[in-house]
Amino acid sequence: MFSDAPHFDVRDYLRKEMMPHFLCPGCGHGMALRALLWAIHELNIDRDKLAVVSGIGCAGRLSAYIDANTFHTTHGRPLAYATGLALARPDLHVVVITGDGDCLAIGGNHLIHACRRNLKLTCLMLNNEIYGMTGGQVSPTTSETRLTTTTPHGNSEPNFDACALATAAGAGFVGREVTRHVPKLKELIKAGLQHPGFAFVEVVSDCTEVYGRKNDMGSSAEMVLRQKSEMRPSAYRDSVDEPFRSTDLPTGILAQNNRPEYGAALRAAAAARAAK
Amino acid sequence: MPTRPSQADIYQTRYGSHGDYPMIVLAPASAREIYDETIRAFDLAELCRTPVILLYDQVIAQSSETVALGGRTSVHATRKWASGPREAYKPYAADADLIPPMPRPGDGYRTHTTGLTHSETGFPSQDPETVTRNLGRLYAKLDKHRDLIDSFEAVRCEDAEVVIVAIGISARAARRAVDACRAEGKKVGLFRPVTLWPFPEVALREATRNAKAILVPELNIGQLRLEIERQLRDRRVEGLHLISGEPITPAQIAAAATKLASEV
Ligand SMILES: Cc1ncc(C[n+]2csc(CCOP(=O)(O)OP(=O)(O)O)c2C)c(N)n1
Ligand code: SF4
Ligand SMILES: [Mg+2]
Repeated sequence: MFSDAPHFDVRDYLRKEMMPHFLCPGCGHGMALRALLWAIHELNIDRDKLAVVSGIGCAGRLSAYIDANTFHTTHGRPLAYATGLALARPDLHVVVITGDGDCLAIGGNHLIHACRRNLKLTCLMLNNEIYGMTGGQVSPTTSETRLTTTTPHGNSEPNFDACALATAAGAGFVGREVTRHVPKLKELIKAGLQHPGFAFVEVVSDCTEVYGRKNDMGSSAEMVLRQKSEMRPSAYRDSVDEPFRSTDLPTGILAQNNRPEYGAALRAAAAARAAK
Repeated sequence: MPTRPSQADIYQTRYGSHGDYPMIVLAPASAREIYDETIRAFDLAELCRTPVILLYDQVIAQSSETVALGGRTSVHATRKWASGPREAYKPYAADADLIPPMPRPGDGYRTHTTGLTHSETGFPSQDPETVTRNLGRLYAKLDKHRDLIDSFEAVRCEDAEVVIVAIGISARAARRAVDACRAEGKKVGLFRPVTLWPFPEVALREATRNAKAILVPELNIGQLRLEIERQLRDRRVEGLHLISGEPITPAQIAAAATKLASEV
């Protein structure tokens, strides 16, 4: 039905029984969800064969809204669940939705090993630089100097560049996009979904209610506009009083390789052994 | 104490997670029993749609024993898969056995799985009535299958005045102690729960019908003893607890049982 219908209506992909959703007004995660569903629509992925696995957090709640096979798992572990699912069921299209806390703090080890294995999965990390759900504690991606409930004097920890981490760990596909550009984000997610190995996509999202409020970042619309000014070319970097990020923010496809896909390699090894 | 024997996770396995939930824990005491109970663990997990923990101490885990692997060699559990129209399907609507058939991704049901409390639809719910009913079902589900879950060994308990209750390596040592005590004319028996949780309380009561005292040797400061005290409030229950990283010897148990027998 959807293959002939270029028109994308997000409501066709949402579970009506789950409405109203629980996100705060203006939360960037809603835009990330829209981009993902739009990408699924354009690639005409059969939702009976689509599995969405999420962790814990506001980002983790998104799987429940998608009319597909959905799994809301434990904190930091969606990649572990998804790894089992994708290995057992190579016929499924497995997508992971995770937050910056979920993916880089408690789940950091799962991420690096998922990148290293290069199993066919698409991992969307929704980075709002904060533990949104639990009320705004510092996360591994919180920018330096930012206020959080656990950094009342401003954050002094350097933040993680998740894409650099994923690239170094060997992920087959690495990309980043901001929620301000939903069509571009949709295109990046599409490229990730089509990659034959592990695809890591960082989505720069906004937690308006907790992070934005604490740091006087304005309304949700202002926060989204801010994403643009933060993505300024390096030459302008020093012209803003208080940089949101210490460097400018590379976006788009940042790394891609053709390393062997883990699931296929494992099945081939098992078949070769069975034939002996 | 890594790599040293202890039996200090009796409540960890039962209550280790957050929230309220029932749990199946199997406690084998030999190499052969590990093999059998592992098969049974998978069978029960599949049948009851629940996690099962296999719990054994370091001595049982690392001892070498010759076993003849007869009987069952594979897991025979059959999982009930969802069938029927998608619209009417509720992933947590149970059959008469209180176990709901499971949906498989790809079969078209497009269900949601969550660790949050949920209704029969699988979607999160905090409705007091719904969450009460669902947790009640999880407990009732195991109650309904106790005939398959319960497992124990009772050795010379019929006329026993002192019954030793133990698991794992402590039960192996207690078995030797029973023989030693019987050779001396002391009426001592052994009750060994193979299924530790839910505790086979009916069988325990039966095995201790004539017992005047209970001895609980275990490698912790008194965990299994607490449960036995709870089950047998009208009886004298004594513990023999070793927390030094060594197993309890048959002689230590025989001495404690003999002393207890002389006092009751
Ligand atoms: C094992 C465990 N530890 C801690 C928590 C509490 N917790 C819930 S959400 C969360 C952080 C989520 O942050 P993030 O992944 O960035 O998601 P966001 O809410 O920002 O989208 C934490 C620590 C938990 N649910 N489980
Ligand atoms: S707390 Fe933050 S991340 Fe969570 S829904 Fe609200 S705005 Fe979004
Ligand atoms: Mg976050």
